Amino acid sequence: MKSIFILDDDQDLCWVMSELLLSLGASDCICANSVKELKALGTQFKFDVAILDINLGDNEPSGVEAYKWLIQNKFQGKIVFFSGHAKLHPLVQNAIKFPNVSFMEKPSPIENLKALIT
Amino acid sequence: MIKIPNILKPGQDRYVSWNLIFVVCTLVIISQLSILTKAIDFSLSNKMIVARGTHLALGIIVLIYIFFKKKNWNSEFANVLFVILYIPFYYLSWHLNVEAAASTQLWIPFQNLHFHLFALVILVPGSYLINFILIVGFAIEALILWLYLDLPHLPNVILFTEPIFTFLYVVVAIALLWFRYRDEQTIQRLSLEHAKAEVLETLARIFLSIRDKSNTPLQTLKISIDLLKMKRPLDDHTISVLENSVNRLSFLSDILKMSEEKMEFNGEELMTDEEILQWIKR
Repeated sequence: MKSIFILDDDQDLCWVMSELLLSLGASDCICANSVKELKALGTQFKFDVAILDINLGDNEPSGVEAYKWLIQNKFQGKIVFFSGHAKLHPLVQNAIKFPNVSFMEKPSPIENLKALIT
Repeated sequence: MIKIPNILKPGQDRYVSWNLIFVVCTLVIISQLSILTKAIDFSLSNKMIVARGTHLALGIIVLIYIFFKKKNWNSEFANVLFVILYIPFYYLSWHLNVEAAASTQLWIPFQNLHFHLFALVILVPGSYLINFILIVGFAIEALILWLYLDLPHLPNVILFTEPIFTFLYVVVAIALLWFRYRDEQTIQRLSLEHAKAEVLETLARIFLSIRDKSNTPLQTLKISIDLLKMKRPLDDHTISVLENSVNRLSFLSDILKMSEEKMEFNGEELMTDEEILQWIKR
């Protein structure tokens, strides 16, 4: 089973997603609320799937910055952008133009989340 | 918080109306000054010197007055000033033609009227109706002069283009004035529609920002319900109630999502959701 990393500034969402994914069989699930917390994980970052919220708060580095950091640090896993904005929103359009990323729109049905760990 | 801007009716633009009254004052001053100083070759009777001098003084007084009133300018008052400045032209025009007819010099009648008809089409500081009435007034004056002076039988009058020429001037002036009024109405209507569209777009943008911000807690609720189903499967009714409410919220969110697909985002001017919500709270 897969290990999951979740980046979202909403702590409640982080917690429930982590609980759900672990209940569905994920081997591990770590959360961070900001890019700063992500970078603090450093070389410990070894996950199969990274779920990145795009908008992490006003004046905070976005999920796109997190993507760039992961790529710089040679992350090999699957990257999924996760956002409350619709796919046509400019923030989302800017994010999904990067190679090898997928996008999930909030709120996403449980089946989509289950598909991430299988 | 958000209201449709007050789109001005034709003739209500205070800056345009002030500028046009300024132009009319300047025209009155320059024309009367030119005639009084004999820069234009006119033979003036004493009565006309007094009349033109009074009109010149009126132009100067109004010019000074409008500079004092500039900051508190009232576009409605422009109508009154325009009429005050233009009415004396009827008197001056009448006596100009009467005195010319009484002289022995050859003259072509109504030349000055043609200029006034042209000016009344161009200079509309207030109501188009007032300019229309003034144009009709000059037409009536021309007709009365034609009959009163018996122009066809005067020996010193050159009439090869009259009265057709003046009649055409009046018709064309009225037509041009009508087209100008109709164009301004069209512009006003389009401006109003554009303003309404901008307001609606702003409202849509606000609703979509609120929707986008609500998607995260909605996701939290949905996952929480799924967790409850897994962990406490016997609590069916409570879970069912929660699920129904969340589904209704999702339905509302989906309705707004359909409008988001119709939005055109301009990336350069895009405010963040936080900025929009801060703006609403102001």
